[in-house]
Order: sequence, then C-alpha cells, then structure tokens
Amino acid sequence: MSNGIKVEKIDDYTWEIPKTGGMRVPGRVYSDEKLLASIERDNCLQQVVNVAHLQGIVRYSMAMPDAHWGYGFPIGGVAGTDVAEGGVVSPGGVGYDINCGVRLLATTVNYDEAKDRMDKIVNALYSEVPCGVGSAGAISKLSAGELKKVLRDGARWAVKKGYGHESDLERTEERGTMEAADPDALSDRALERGRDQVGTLGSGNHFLEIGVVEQVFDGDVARVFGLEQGAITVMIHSGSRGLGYQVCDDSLKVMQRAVEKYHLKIPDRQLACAPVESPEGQQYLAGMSAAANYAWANRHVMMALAERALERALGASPKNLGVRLVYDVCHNIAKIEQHEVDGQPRTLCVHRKGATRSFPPGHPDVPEPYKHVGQPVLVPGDMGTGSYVAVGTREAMEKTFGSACHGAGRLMSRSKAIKRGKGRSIDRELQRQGIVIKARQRKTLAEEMPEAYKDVDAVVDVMHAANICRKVVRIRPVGVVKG
Amino acid sequence: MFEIIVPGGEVKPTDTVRVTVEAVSLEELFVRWLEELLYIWESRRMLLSRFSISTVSPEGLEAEVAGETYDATRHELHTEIKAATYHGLQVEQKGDVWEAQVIFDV
Repeated sequence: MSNGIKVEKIDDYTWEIPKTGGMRVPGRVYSDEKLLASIERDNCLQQVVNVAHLQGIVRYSMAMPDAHWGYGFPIGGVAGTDVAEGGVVSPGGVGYDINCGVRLLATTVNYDEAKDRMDKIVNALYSEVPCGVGSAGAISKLSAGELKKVLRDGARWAVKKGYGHESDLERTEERGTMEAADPDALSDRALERGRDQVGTLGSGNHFLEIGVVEQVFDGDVARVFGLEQGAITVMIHSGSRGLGYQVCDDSLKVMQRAVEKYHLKIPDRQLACAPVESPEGQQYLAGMSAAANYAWANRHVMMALAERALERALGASPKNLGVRLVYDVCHNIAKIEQHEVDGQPRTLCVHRKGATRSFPPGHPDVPEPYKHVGQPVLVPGDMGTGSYVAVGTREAMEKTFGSACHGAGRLMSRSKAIKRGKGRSIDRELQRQGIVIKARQRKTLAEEMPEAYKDVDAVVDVMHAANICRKVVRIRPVGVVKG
Repeated sequence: MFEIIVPGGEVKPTDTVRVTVEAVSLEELFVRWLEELLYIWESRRMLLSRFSISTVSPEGLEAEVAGETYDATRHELHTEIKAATYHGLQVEQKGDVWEAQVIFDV
C-alpha cells in the first residue's frame, strides 16, 4: 500500500485502486509485482487517484508499467474523458514536452559489416544534428510567417522544404500533422522560443541512437515493418522543445482560471483543465496540436540530417543503405478519438502522458502497409540496455483506449543518479558493453545512466503478457548521441 | 536558477533589462517571475546574475535584472530548464525572511 491507497490484484499484470471519495472511476495499474513496488514508492498512485477525479473521465484512470511521478498526471498515465458529458482536457495530462516522441528508421546495413566504423557514424551524427542545452537549429532562424507554416503543417512542411519524402508521412502518427492546429493560438513568447530550434535534439533524456536488431519475436510482423535481424536502426527521441514548454505553461494559467469558471473540483492544481468543448479547451487543443506539429517537423528534419550523417560515415546514399522510416509515435499528447464505452461508441479526449498509442490491425488510423498487422509501438529503453518495437492489439482498445507504455521510466532522480555516477566513467562502462557514446555534457551521462531507469524488458513483458502490445523485435544500442 | 543552468559560471552584470510581472497570488507571482527570467535567457541568450526588485505585492512586481550574453568560451551550460512548475509550490514568510520552494522541469 502507498500512503494508505488500497490496491487490489485483478491478475498478475493488472491492479485496481477501488473508487473511493471523489474518484469518479477506479484506478487501473498495468504492472508486475516488482514494478508496482517502485510505482508505490514514488507516490505515483496518489496521482492515479487524483486523475480519477476529472470531470467526464470514463472507465479507469490508468498507469502503465513504466509509470512514475509527474506533474498532475503521472508519467505513464492514460485517461479518457467523454467529450459530450463535459469531459475535460488537462495540459498536465500531456506534459510540458508536447509530442515528445520517437521515430525509428530501419536500414539494410548489417551491423557486423559496419561496427568498425561505429565511431565514425556516431561522430557524424553528433556533428550533423544540433544537440545539447542552448543548441540552435540546422535551419537558420525562421521568420514568423515560416514558423506559422511549420506549426500548421508539421512534417508536411519539412517534406515541402526537401527533408525526407512524401512517403514518410504515411508512416507517422497523424501523418505528422494534426489538423486542429492553429498557430494563432500560441503566444508571442511561444513563437519566439520556436524560431531557431527546428531540427534540434535538446538535452536530458532526448537522444539519437544507433541500434542493431538483436532479437526477433515475431518474424512475420518484423518483415512487414522492414526490420531484419542484425541490421542497423536509427532511433530519434525528441519533442517540441522550448515552444512546446511555453504552450503548456501559457495554458496552465488559462486553465487555472477555467477551473473556477466551470466550477471544476480538482485535488491538485497541476490537473487544471477545462471542458473540451469550452473556448479554453478548444484553444488548448489548437495550441497543443500546433506544438505537436512542430515536434513532427523537428523529428522529420533530424531524420534527414541523420541520413546525411550516415551517408558521410558509410560512403553510400540512404537509398543504397536501405534507410526507411518504420514509424513515428508521440508519447505526450491528447487525442480526440472514437472508442467503445459500455458497448456504445463515444468521442473521447484520450490523454497519453508518457504513453504510446497502440492501435490494432484494421484500424483506419494504422498506415496501409501495416493495416493487416497493426500499428508499430516504439518503446525506447535506456542507453545501456535496449529498445523494443511492438505491435498494437485489439485488447489494447478494450483495456487502455489503445495505449501502451512509452519507455523504461525513471527509477532514480537526476540528482541521485549524478551522485551514484560520481567517480565512475559511464561512457567507458558503456563502451565495455560495445556502445559508442558521444554526449555534450558529462553530467547528462550520469543522469541518464542505465540504473536510473526501470528495466525496459520487464516493462514490455508486462504489456506483452497483458496483450496490450505484442513484442516484435528487441534492439540493442551500439551508438548513442546525447545533448 | 541560473546556478542550475550555468553552475559556477561568472556572469557579468553588463546589460540590464526591466521586468514587470503580474499575478493573482504570491505563489503565481513567484512562478511567473522565474518564467520571465527563463524567457530572457531563451529569447535573448542572456544569462542573469543581478536581480533588483523595486516593487512587489501579490498582484505583481517590477524589477531590473542584469547579466550578459552567453559566451561559449566562459559559460558551460549544464542543464536545460524546461519550466518552473506549480507543483509543490510554496511561498512563506518565516520571521524576517521569505522562503520559497519551486520544482523545475528539467
């Protein structure tokens, strides 16, 4: 029990917090016993309980196995609110880094043939893709007008500018553009922060990773996704940078006033919200969508820069290297989606904060080439262990509104990790494991050390066992660039 | 806060900026003040080291802050602060001094 919060076991991977007090629905935590212990330790369950108070919430307030404490919503939190029943949208259920997400590229480059050039590849990525605190973009400072095009068009803008291909859009969640975006919903401040950060990685837990497909669990789906055992992959993890943070910040001020205006009872100020259909709710979604588009443009540009780096390092064109976008997912977002609730189709506002969409075969939003197998679910681990590609399932729609975990989740605070890392050479430890690493800050390495994160294998095993997403391949990191 | 962004870095107070912040409570004022300083850093690439508040009340403050433009040869950037959050926010008077707590998203 955590702070007196009762948790009942439903099955080996499902735990329920019964509805009590002001909760409108029960809480549901997808976890095994060991991961649940760490979820309980960091006060995350209280946040699951708090989210259950939101107006219009249906079914459950959920937490994924990588859940940990966040602002308002836990990171790894999922909640759907019924729009027609006054359901709310809460910026805390999206996070400061709107559309922080992951993009995965497959190649036909065999790792064994390229491993002697891994230093060269990592160095080329490090010099080609701007990263680190205060980094400015590969694209020179945009005019206000051009930035608005980025916010409106997202990845489509990047393609028009010559980055990547039209065919990449199909393999991006929302095709890299949320149509609800309205650049005019952003403050001047947010626009100013966004003008020179397109194509930048950022710092903290953002990274570029070269991996090798180490283990194949489902050969048929791996083939459909274009993932071959022993082949090199490139993963980009980044978000909407300063622009996104500012949009979240600006919205919290508006939402705090909205809570009073609409007489909403919330147990935590960071859960400030407004009904989806209110002017405040619509304005937030319009701004959030614009910030999401910015993040997609960002990852699209970085993908093109990464391809350029590979070409430089390996002396062959991306085409000859078989570079292909597998998929791009967001894991901090709110979406208006149709889901069945108590046998009835409902329009829900699904908040995924540190959670990834996991849609099944046949769903209209799954790209055509993947429709018969389901949506790729990208789950980055930490730089020491590995990442997974999984596939969405029908059961995810029933259990979690089509949502799965997003990564390994932090186990240790950054300051504790830095203390633990004192006197250690994290990069040398990783090199001994065969991982070439280049980081702009040594401190980032300590903060992001493998022990600072939960066990990604355990996290994905829970999702697989609960049939929320099914494992397709495991990717081992061999090169990492960090800000 | 600037000690988190550039720990131990020498920031000369050569340029000044006037700052005005409005709020509805002391707690909100505190967060808005920090955000204003973060915005100056991000938009002008200006690190700050001197903060002189001329008027302050729960409804707002006016201040003059001083610092210099980021210089990569002298300032080692350590941490990106995404935002000052409302979580765990406290502003309290204890005798003659004021104590405040804020959680930064980094």
